[in-house]
Amino acid sequence: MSPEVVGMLGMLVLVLLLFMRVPVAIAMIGVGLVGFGVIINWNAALARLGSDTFFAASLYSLSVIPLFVFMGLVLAASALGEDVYKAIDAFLWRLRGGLGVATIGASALFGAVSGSAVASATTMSVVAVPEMQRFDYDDGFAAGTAAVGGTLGILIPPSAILVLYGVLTEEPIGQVLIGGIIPGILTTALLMITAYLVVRARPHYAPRPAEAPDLSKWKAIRLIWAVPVIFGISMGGIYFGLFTPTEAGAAGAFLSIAYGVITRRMTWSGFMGALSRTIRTTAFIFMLVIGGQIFGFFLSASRIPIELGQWIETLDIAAWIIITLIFVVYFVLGALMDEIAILVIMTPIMYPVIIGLEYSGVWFGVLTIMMLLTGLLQPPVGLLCFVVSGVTKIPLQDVFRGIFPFVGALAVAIMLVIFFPDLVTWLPDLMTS
Amino acid sequence: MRLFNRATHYISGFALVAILTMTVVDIVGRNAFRQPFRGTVEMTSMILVVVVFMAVAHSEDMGDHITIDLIYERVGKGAKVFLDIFSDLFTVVVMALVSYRLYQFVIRNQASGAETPVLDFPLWPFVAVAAVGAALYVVSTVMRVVLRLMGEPVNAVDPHAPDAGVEI
Repeated sequence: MSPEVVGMLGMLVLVLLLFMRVPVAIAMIGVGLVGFGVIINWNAALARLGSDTFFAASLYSLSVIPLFVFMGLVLAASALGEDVYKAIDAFLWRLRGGLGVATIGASALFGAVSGSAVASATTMSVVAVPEMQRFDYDDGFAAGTAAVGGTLGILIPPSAILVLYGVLTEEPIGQVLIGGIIPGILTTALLMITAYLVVRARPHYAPRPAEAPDLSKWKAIRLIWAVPVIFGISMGGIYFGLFTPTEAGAAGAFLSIAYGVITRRMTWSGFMGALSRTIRTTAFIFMLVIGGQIFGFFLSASRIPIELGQWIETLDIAAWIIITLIFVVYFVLGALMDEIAILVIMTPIMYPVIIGLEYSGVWFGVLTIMMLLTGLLQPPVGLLCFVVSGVTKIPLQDVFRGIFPFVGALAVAIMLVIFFPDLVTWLPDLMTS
Repeated sequence: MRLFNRATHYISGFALVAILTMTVVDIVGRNAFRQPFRGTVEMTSMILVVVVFMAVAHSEDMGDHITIDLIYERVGKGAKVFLDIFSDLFTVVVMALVSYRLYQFVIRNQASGAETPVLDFPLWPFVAVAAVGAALYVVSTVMRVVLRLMGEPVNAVDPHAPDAGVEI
């Protein structure tokens, strides 16, 4: 059998195993091992299994992932999300549908110190949704803003998922993280405008204006001093080349703990809870990295990514059409599979194609994350919709209805990034020059 | 066994705090006193192995590892039991092999006397932690199969998070 045929068979078996509910990481290790054994030889495959597993788990560049996750969870445990929402609300409450617009703005700001979509969506479900319900906002719209806001936590650095892409492709992690900043701001703006327009088109979604909050604008700014300080030190440190990403993560996590302790908001059990969840998240992400590496070696041995790249080059189609087709593939997969699984499985296949088309790997990293965001919202498996529905008890179908216009806004943001790659690459390029 | 896995996951938490502290001491030392903490990078890499492998079994107990439930949620009870046991047994085989190969890698590192580049720490104890962690994963999964056959609930209860799964 030719390596390509083994590769195709391997992918088929992988899909089969995944649908049989074998954990994604385990299925990738199993298929990668057998496939590599068939194509190269069994002794080599078995010998690599031990060393590859160990070296994947001891990659220094991956150590930033638990630190970023920990940082966000510690801040969530210190109730920073509530403050951020109150502060943004102090500026936007007058606006028609302002509470919804504020929810998205607050999610973005919280996302600037947290790498977790779930933490962000949970916080907003607890804080912002009841506030919107108090002013008779439409349930679906309120839940939709909280769910879509969560996606910004992943796009805006710090972001564990952006780091994961950097590790899988060996792109510089610092640049991939910094590359997320402008698309993050752009997406936030588009989502806020969408929320405003939705309320303009359907005034009954936000039937009456909110009351003035008991917080002056000046006090509101002082309430959230921790956000610019932590973001500035950790991401600024990366941008100016003072920190490796791991050091930025450690500094951010340390400052977050300091914030929790100084403001006396973090309890011991809050701290231990954040630590425990960080560790569990780390365990499953690293298992996926190990699976991704072993499966990736098998894929390269099968030559499928190279063949695919060469085939696409012969097609003589405009590059943007190919990229848009890739977006469609990710969008469909997003309805079927978990987003991290898509990232780990698809990146080794698509990345060589993108590089063959002479696009920037940093750009594709940010674009990949943006494409995966839509999957976090889509029925039937949209994780964030489940989170928001679970916390707020708003029926799932209402949440899915509520996020619909925002998925459109995300698609617009993605198309803008496809047509204007500089949106991603400008800041990272400044770093290197 | 589950209590034991929970205990090891706290070792993992302690290891993460160690990485955090070490890195912060290094940053402050380097910038304020021109006194970097020697070997921070390689110690971070090695301790990271402890963080990951002391937590994988607990993560398995909690049902954290990502699966795709699209088909699973649409089949009958009997098929669910079959899929559950199939995926558990597949996991046992793969992770047992991983653990065994890690154990072989321990022996290889002991024989060659491989060390970390700056601090000259022997490599094999860290590989051994990974081998043990993978073995605990296997034991946990075997226990899952037993629980399933006895008709008991398989996922442990998370004391910290009543309503949501892990973070991404």
